[in-house]
Amino acid sequence: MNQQMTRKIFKEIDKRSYDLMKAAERFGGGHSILTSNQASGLAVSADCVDNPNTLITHIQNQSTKSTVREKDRGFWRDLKKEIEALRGEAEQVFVALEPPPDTTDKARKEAIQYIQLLLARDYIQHLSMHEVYARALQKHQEEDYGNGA
Amino acid sequence: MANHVVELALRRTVAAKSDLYYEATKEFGGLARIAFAAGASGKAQIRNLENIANSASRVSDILDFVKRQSGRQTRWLTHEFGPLLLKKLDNDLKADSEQVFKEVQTATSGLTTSEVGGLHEDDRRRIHILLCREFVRHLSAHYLYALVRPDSYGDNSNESADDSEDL
Repeated sequence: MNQQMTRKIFKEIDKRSYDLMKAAERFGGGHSILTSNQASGLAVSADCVDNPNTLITHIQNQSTKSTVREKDRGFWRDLKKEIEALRGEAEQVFVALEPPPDTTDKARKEAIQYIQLLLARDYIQHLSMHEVYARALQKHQEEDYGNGA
Repeated sequence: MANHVVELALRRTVAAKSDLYYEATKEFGGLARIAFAAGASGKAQIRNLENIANSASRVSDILDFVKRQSGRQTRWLTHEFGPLLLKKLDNDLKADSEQVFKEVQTATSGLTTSEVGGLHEDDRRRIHILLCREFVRHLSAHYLYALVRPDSYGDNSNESADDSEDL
């Protein structure tokens, strides 16, 4: 993938970042189980992997861990679905890049995988920040309520 | 990016909107002074916010920064500074960016598309970032001034913050 293409990909992801943030906020609002450290850990994991499938496997493993409470498994299962669904968005981004007509299937597949990984990282980054914020805000409000009572 | 004629109209409209942020940012500057009064790192916090706003290529990065700092440092939650700032940057400024977009569109509608290039959909996002930068820039200035002149910000205790000497 050349430099110009990479730049175009980043620009397309920038365009979608706000909507990804809103989607992550909705998802976080419906689940909210991560502690601050877990949220940061998830973001680090997303940054370290080089393939969206590795990330999806990591998330799947979280949902099957014996130490995870039954009610929290839904979070990981739903997150896996969210990340998998980004494949469709990655394909849209790829089309928006107007790739040359002679692009091979292999190159197309690699580009879409790369875009999906970037989208997933962005989504998880927003989710992580939302979780950290929501936790702190909830704690702060409870303390305020406790002091006022 | 839009053509230079449209770009000029866009910058002018953003500047006009920026002038209207004086009172709102003054309030936030005062809030920041109260929120960060107890520690010496308040200036660093606001400076970081300003740096992020100036360098970010998307609004979500600025919002993530506010969320992260609010999540990690309870001072950001004092007097709801963080949550109010988030609401302002996200909801209010987004609405303002739509308004600016429409104003620029109207102002440049007499010019033909082929001649000018017109506004692009992506300009909505760019306007939002520009407005966030303006807002944070004003906020930062008010905060620094509030450190040395708290009486101007509704605080009559006449005590300047501990770290005001090295401004």
